[in-house]
Amino acid sequence: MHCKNIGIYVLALVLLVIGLYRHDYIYVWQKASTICLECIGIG
Amino acid sequence: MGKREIIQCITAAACNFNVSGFMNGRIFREESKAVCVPGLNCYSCPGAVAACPLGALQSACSGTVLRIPFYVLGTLLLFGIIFGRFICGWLCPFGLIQDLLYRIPGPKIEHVPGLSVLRWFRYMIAILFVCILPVAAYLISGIGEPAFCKYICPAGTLEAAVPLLFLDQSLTAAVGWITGWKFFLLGIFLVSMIFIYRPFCRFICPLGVWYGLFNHRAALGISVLEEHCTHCGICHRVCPMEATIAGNAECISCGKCTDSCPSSAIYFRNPIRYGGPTEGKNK
Repeated sequence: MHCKNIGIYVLALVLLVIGLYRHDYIYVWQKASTICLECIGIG
Repeated sequence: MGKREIIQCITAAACNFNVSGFMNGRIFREESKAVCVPGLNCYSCPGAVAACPLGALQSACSGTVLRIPFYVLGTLLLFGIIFGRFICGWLCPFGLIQDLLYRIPGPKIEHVPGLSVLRWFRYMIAILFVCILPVAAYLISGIGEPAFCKYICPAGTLEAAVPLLFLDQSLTAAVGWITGWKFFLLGIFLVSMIFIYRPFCRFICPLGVWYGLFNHRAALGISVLEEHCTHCGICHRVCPMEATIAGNAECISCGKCTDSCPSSAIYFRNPIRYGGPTEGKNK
């Protein structure tokens, strides 16, 4: 595996861990579990 | 129906497993909505059981607080380095819709000189609507907005607006000019999808822009054995995405070139061996 690929995997995992630590997934869930008025052209 | 079409159908069904949502007009609210699917699938679709990565990315910039979306960026990076635009060809529900519409009999617009220049348009859309406008709206008004979702995304219009506005009269009463604009845009996309192969993927989709950056190094995707390649150009002629080189940023790994190459120079990368040619052909 190329070194750059390993670096990208590591970076992705680091970002994920930071995001999980900060509970970013809660914001994703909050947005995804309510009707996105912008997506349907109302908001 | 080939292997790719079967996997596309399974993925689309898995992303929109909440069938009851299409009956009662309510969207899914369980914990799985915190997870992003790799393809374009509006999370306001009544059937959607997970989040759209593009919508989730923009939602970090919408609202009254600007957040760096570490979780979504990490997810997108992981999807990109593992799959690249293999996602577009095999795992994206909106890609499946385009493939199905293209099967409708009619004249097809292929290899038109100059049409491929439009592929640069999606880079402008990605930078302007996904990156700049959401943050600009936040800086100007204090409230960000998911500009691509709001003004362009036909997946949201088709998968979310159509069923929700049909099922929920209270939403129908709130439609305005943006709704009309999005339906007009959707109409243009749907008609063009009959005559042009995947026009949204080729000219508009910001997700494809992102995944295309990883196409040449992702674990899954298409590569060319340079020592076998005779530069005959057959791969470019058969490529429905009109990729100039097999496996470049335009390639969605559909596999048509691997079947057509007379010198067997094109192959699907083997994710287990990470780079080597697979045994036999994949469809």
